[in-house]
Amino acid sequence: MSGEPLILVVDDERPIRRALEVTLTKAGYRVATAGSSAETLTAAALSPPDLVILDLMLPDGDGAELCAELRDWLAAPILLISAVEAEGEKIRALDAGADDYLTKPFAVGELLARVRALLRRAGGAAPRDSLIEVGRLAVDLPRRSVAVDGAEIHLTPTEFDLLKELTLAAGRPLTHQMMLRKVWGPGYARETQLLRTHMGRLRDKLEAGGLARDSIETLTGVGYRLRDGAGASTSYGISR
Amino acid sequence: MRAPAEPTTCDNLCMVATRTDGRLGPSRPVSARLRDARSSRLSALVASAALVVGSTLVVGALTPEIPVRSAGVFYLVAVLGASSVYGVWWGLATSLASALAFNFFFLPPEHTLVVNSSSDWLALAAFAVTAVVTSDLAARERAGRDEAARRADEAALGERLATVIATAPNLDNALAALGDQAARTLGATQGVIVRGSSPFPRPGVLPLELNGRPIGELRLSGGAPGLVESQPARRVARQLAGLIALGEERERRMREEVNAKALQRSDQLKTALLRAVSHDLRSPLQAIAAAAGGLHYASLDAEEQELLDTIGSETGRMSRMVENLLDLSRLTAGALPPVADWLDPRELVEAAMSELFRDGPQNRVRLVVMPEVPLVHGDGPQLQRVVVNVLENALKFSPADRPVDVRVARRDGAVEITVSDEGSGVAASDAERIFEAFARGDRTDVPGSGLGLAIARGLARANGGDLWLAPPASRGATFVLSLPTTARGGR
Repeated sequence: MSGEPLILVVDDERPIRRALEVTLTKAGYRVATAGSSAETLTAAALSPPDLVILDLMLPDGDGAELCAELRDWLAAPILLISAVEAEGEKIRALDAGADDYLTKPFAVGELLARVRALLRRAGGAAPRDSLIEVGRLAVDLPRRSVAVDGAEIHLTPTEFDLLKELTLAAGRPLTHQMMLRKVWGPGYARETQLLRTHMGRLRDKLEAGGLARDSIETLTGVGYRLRDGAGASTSYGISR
Repeated sequence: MRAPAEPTTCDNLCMVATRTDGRLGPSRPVSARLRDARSSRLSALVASAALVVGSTLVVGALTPEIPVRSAGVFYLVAVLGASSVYGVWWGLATSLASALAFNFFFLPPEHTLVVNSSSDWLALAAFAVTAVVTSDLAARERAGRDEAARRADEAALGERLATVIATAPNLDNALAALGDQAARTLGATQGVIVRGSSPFPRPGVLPLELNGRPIGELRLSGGAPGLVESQPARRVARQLAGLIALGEERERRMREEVNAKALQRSDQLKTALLRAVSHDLRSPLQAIAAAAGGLHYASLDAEEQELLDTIGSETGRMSRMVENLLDLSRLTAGALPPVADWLDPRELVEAAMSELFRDGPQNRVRLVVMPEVPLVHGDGPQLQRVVVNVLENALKFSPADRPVDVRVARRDGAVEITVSDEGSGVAASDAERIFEAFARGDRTDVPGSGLGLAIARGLARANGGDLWLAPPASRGATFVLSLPTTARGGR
């Protein structure tokens, strides 16, 4: 790997591919492009990218499957681009290991912000320390305790486990199925009632502790995400 | 009128008959057995006489060894045999003949029909009573066996009918083959089953009814007079009616299944078509947005920057319009099937607020969630879209410095999300019109396409909920979104 991060842009529409290529190059990245599943696999194998921007609607195959195949041997983060109708594919791709997604139509500023965030996270060590701090929120894994601005918040074991998974994901979206499997077990992947109820209580407690309610972002139809700067109540702040 | 059984179907039926019937199948119907009975009168006479003669010989052979009054018991064998095979009257006749023979050959004075001793009278009387009782019992047993055989015939018929009706691809073809089978079971020569009600009772026509509902009729020919009023005929009619009703139900279900499959295929086609259309409409817009985004790095003067901003904002407007039109087409085409899940109504409203205020802090929406609000059941992204559209509408049509109140509460097995603004309100005459596509209120100064509320209501209803305008209050407008709290609410 030399110099600037290499981004592989995968989209079957040439004008979009070209516009993203120019924009990302101007933003200081090296860019490779591919227009199909086959091209993507070849390009990624020849020069492994640092990040993949993947449009799920490809002419020659299932985007979610491509995502799973890449994930087998490529550690680089994958940013999905998906249409509203491809909800099911998007969730499958996230479950298969994609790191984030953008829904079409998206603003270029938003895309650049996601790219920066993903590269930053991929560059830093995974947060496996015993104490994880996200914004004003501190989660102590061995002690199973949570604090906002140093003041402890009492959570039930399930609420703690939910917050732990969100914190470990560090800004990556977690699908409902992922959370249910990790916190309750593989047999509970469809019990969304459980998840909704406990997430509601978790948010209530964090809010009572002084954390903004939208620190945990609802990705309707997909899952949840702990915002990078939890507590600051900011979104990516890019105008559309 | 249908033709009698087709040979192919008959083969099938005969095969079934052989399998289910070992003793008295349709090869020996009632009429055949009656003919047998007439020809067997002579054989009954011969057999009864032979039995009496045989018994006399046996008694005669035994009398040197055992007392004659005890040996007389062997005549009971003759009585039993005759009554069990030929019925009670032959039994009685045999018992009379036996008594006479016993008296004539064995009771003193022998070779006369005179009885001297009173004990002999007593023996003869006991003999006669025993013979009568025995023959009656034997005859009853025989009648029971006949009835059982008839029932077995009917049961076999029922089984054949059920098998054919349950497996035949076409009910009418199956019935054409079954008419003759039913007729033969009842002793008639031919039968035709006709579906539908028959207005008048006619001779030779057996009405088929199920719980008083006419199912059809069995037209019989070659049967005994009064056959259609007989008990067996009524039983067969009940059986036939029940099975035909079952067959009709099966036909109806098959038809429904075919229709449902066709509908599903058409839905899939519509969904695929709209998916392709949205891809084609969206891609150029996405390309324009991406290309314009790339120019942000160019060094432009103020006017050039303004043009670039216009490209950006108008592309955004166009995108929203395209999305709205696509949603409306999908709703109209029924190509937006909800993917229902359990949702926290508070989460829905908060996610909608995040979506609306992603560019900056939100300070206009005041959210109140009442305690003990249950989860609702519906498609998350679709219902979030409903809340976004209603909220956007309220924010647009009320002064920018006035708040919009959102209240989430449980109400009668549903959850109601009410959105109240402090705008100029909606005229009572427009309360329904504002939910029509492309309908605009009288506020032409506010930009919009008039699709937001139409889509919102369409999506709410597709998810088993509803959206309406509350009766006008002192100021502003209040929209009520009702969402189901049970999984059955969805369509």
